[in-house]
Amino acid sequence: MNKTNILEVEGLNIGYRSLQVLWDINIEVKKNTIVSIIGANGSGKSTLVKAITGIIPIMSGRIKFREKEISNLLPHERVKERLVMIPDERGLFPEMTVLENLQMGGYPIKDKAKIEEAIIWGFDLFPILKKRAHQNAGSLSGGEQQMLAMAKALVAQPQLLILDEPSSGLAPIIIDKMFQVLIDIKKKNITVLLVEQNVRRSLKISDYCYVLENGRIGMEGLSASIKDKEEIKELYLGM
Amino acid sequence: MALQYIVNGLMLGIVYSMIGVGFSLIFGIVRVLNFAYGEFFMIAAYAAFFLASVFGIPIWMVFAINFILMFAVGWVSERALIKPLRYRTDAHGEHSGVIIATFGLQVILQSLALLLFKGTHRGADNYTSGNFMVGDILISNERLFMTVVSIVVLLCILAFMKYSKVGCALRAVSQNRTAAQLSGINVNMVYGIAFGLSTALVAIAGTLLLPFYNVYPTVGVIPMGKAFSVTLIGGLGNIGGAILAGPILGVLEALASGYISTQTKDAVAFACVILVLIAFPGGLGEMLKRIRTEWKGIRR
Repeated sequence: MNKTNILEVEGLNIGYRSLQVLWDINIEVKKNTIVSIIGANGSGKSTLVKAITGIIPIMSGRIKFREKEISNLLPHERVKERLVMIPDERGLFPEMTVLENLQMGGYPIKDKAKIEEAIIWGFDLFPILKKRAHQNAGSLSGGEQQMLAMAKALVAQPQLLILDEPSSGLAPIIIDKMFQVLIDIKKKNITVLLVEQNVRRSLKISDYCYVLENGRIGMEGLSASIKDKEEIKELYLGM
Repeated sequence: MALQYIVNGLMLGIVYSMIGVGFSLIFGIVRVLNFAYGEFFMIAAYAAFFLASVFGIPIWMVFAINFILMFAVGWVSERALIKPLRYRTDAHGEHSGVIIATFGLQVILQSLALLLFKGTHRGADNYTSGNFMVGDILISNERLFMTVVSIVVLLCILAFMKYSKVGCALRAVSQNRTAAQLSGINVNMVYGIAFGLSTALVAIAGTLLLPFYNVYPTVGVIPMGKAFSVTLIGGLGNIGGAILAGPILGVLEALASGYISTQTKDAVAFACVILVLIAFPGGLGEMLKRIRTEWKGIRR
């Protein structure tokens, strides 16, 4: 495994029962970069990241994280390895308060001081969460929930943070904020793997990009060069 | 006289709360209806009978032994029976295998008890005796003892769920299983603990109610009926609702057996379940939650 890579996915095949949805996926994520996975609805983006975190099983292939094979680990064991994901449904506990949710984010972390520190960082990033600290997560607006999801994931001290459709259902001003936070996170040496339908924004923010087409990697490359490809312009950017 | 019935009903109802909380715990967290729940009650009652009446072990130790022993029994049942079936679904994608397995466990445990202990009703002496008057109301020490033990156990469970790390993990799994996994919670461990805790709760109830109901191989149908009534009135998987529903059921039963006849009390209880489900399909717990949210809205 290349030392500069934090995540390597080799020859991954994934399916639900007999229905295969992803074929021979190969992905490399370099440390301290933002890598995006784009693709149309139903191209298998969510399935891919769910398999990387272990929520759904794989048929064959290898997943290596920080030079360690993790394909056989259970989801919670992968979180302990500092592989953290924010799922598309945000992954919150609706009947716990904002503060309790943040504390649950630190479940695998032994050092209490680190949890406290990360919660304060979360409140700095999203001041509204501090105001809502003792309110149930289920009573927050969609934007606030996404902010909480982000803050909660950061409490788990991720080395690699996977985001599944973080912008879905949010107002543009909040999407701007979320993407700004991703840039801040990168500066703190957290690698980001971003799954997005918002192709324009994710190409702008990411360093490298994979394009999923019908369950296969159709194209990959530096985001700056992908942006100029005729096919991408036509299919995803509407130009 | 009515007041006397109500007080008696309230005191017994707290024990029903405990039975209901245990049943709800499994449904809320593991999403399984445990049909062998009453049989765990039966095992605990037999254990209490032999420990206390035959070997003469002090009563507080009987409770402690039963709690630990039955926690282990619950844990092992989950590991051996539920876990292997959890990921198997039938043609419709339902986990019917798990429910049928708990039903099978019920039959096996009942038959084993019949084989080992025959059909004899075994009773125990009351744990305490005597009674006292508060105004016109007669309170027996035995009932008071049951009530106090149940309240203490329930408070411990609530504190455990609210403040301990494992308790938070239990609540997390019941609210969002995938999110719990992604937060680093070992869901399999949580299932085992939930099953163990639930079984330990019904074991305390089985020990408490031994002098009340006696013990015989099919005694489990009584707590099973209470568990169903309490969880349906309170809302499936809702612990607060179950705690509230216990005393309601207890009072209704006491009034029915006092004013009509003892035979009608179960009919009255189930009629009440049906009425509650018509009025509040989610149970009382759901209604409480709505009131609380609206109250918060008004205050703000």
